Amino acid sequence: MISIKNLTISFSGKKAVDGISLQLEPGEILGLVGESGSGKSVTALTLMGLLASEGVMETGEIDFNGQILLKAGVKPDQKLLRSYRGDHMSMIFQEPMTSLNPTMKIGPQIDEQLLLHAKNDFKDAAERKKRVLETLEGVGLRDVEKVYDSYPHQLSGGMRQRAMIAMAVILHPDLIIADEPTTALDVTIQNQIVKLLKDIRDRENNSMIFITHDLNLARRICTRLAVMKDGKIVEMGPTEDIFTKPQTDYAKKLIAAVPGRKKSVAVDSAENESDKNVENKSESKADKKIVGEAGGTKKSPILTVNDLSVFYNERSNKIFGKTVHKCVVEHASFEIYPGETLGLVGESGCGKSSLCKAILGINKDITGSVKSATVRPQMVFQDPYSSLNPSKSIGWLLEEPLRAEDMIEKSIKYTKEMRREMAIDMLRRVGLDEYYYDRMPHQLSGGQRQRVSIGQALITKPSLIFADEPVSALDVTIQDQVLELLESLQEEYGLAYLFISHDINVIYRVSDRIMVMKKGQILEIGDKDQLFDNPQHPYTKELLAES
Amino acid sequence: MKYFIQKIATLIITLLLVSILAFLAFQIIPGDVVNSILGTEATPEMEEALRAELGLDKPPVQRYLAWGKDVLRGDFGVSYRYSKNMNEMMPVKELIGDKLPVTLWLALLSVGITVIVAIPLGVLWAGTKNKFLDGFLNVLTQTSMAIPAFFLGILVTYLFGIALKMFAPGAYVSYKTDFGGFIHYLIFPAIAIAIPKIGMTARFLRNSTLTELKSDYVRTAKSKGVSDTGILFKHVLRNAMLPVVTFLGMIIAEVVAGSIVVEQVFSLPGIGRLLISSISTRDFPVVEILILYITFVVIVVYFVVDVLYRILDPRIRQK
Repeated sequence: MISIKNLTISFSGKKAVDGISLQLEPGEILGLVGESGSGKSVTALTLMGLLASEGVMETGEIDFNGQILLKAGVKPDQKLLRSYRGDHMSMIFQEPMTSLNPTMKIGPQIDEQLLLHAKNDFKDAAERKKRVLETLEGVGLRDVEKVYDSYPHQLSGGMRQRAMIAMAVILHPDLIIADEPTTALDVTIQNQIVKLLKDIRDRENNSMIFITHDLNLARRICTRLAVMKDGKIVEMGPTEDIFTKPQTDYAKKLIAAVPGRKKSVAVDSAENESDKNVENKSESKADKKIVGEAGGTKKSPILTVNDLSVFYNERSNKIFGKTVHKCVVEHASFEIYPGETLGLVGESGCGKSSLCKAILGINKDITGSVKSATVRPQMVFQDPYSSLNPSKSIGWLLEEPLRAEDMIEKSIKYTKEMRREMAIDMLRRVGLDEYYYDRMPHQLSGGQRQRVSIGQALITKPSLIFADEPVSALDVTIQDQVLELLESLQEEYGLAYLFISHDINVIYRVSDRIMVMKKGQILEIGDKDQLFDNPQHPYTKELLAES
Repeated sequence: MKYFIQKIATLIITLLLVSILAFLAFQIIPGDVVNSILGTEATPEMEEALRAELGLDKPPVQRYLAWGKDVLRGDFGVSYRYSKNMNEMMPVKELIGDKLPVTLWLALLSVGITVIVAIPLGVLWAGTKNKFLDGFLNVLTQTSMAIPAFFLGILVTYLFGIALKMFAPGAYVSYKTDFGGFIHYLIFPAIAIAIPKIGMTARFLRNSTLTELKSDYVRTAKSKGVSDTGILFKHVLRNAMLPVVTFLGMIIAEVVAGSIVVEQVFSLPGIGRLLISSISTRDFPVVEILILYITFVVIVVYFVVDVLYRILDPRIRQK
């Protein structure tokens, strides 16, 4: 049994973890959920003895099957910790590309575990290799000899994460900590990894700590949940209890913010309620659209894409290297109508972003036609941290599209005061106070920055907005707020959205119609409910089968 | 295979361009080899005669093509200035042949010393938790980079030659008579060249190692229970070396082209001195060949760096 007693960690005086206590039984999967900065990862790293040197353990102790590994005020025994790490407890990290050494083959990286902790159990290198190959097979990899001799970049994301898991389980540790192990992976791969982790637990009966910000995911894998906020555990209990009968306000809020699906497995009050909200909203939206359509003649599309193929030149890095003309989107045809949200789902690299860029005219290497009934569609990007110029004030950034418009269109002339007024007005509309006008991007939180991005897209009053994964980098509750903002702006201005996401639940929440893409091709377009209830394409089925 | 053909094509094109540029430069810069040979007393007839003898009366394009043809056949021409004896001209090949090995060995030794000292130093520096050592190395490398080459040459001469008596300054031994003695003598100018390079390389390696130490795979290695030393040498070093290899390549090119000052201080008969005197006397055939040679070495060094990089980084190898 592993227990954490009254653990407090502070970074330069500020408490990152504040007096938490946890106990783990064998065979149990404990989910640590909460928003970023709530102390989930710091707790896990401390448990592994990997707390950064700036972090101070103020109180508490960590008891690992009777052995006190860490105790506040006692200098940690690094040698003891090293002998536990990898052998008795191991960790699976989020980003499998960077978490593996890029210049070392997979085999030796796993073999290193055996060399470090169990060298004497094996006669020679060949015997160790046999064990590594067995473990690789055990995590569901095929062609293991080849994987053994591959470098990380030669494997796909899912394969890398499997290799990472093989590394973590090869010595049958008592505790496995998985820190957002599927966040960087595509949905279908995510499911396989979750299943693999469960299988391993069933087979070896180890304890697992599963850290995630994705509550839907936590619900599928964890037996018990600990909800963290500001370094404290605000609520802990069996997973279904927390989902159905959350006790604290925070847990209620968190669970209500989870983008729910109509086809939820268990019927429970909280989720049901949030589901109803979503439905009501979409119904009201649909009603309005019908009214609008009935009022006039049938609306003509705001954007018509006809047989669009997008190419890009892949130039090799050599003097006489040939340029390869690659097709990334093949024969896409679809329409977007005023006031609707078209959701676009697909895995990374399927051509979603290329499609957007082509429609916006950023990529000109296309065939087919794009007809837009509106002035320049605007775009909201995924990463609110890097898509705003850090050296400019929020006001400047908001005015930037106006300045651009000013230059392009001769008929439009904005004075400095007009621009300022419009920017301040826009700040209010996206739910920010006027004084943010003079702030710099780094002074804002992720959600606030995404509000600024949305403001930037809206300020030239387009009737169509492309939102490329606008909430993927945000925490659930913030996600919820940003989605609400997008929805209310849609009602206010009659905006149409092309909403790109890899998250089925988010897509379900916002979309009227959904378009599924894979490998540059549009597989299916349909009304949300029709597509969810009766998916036609096998890939769509696979995508939806996730929960 | 395709890779090698591409590299060789790059080499040929670069050499061609450089030779044309050097030729053009000689057309543009003021000063005339005929004047410089005959002096101011010469009559126009004498100048005319010498011009015809050297083939300088023909148009530039024709001269370049004729020169190029000769070079391709392996005939590098004769020096305008140096002569073997009263009746014989000095072939460029012979003139340079003696001096090339000196410069090459000097470059090789200094790079060798740089690598051998700088890499362990950089890793040690990155790995140390000792604040004093950290500060000391910081000051030391900074100082080494700031001292000009000629002054370092004098310092090395004084320290190793006069104070420690490890070599006799000025007593250069030709590699033809005593190779061991030749290398022994060369080590000291090589040290003078290497010191600032060691400072730079060690600094560079330290920084890249510290960056690598913050990366995710290091955290993974720690979670496996790898010790600090294991992390440094087994995981980080190879990744940290990647940018350093490119940096070393640039340094080698610099050493090959820039050993002139140090050759002067240690009175080495290398190509550095020859290059300077040939430029000032407008000795075109010598300068042209020297420039081509330096270009050639630099490109070959970059090629070696490229190959090394491919070996170190599997991600590049695959492309």
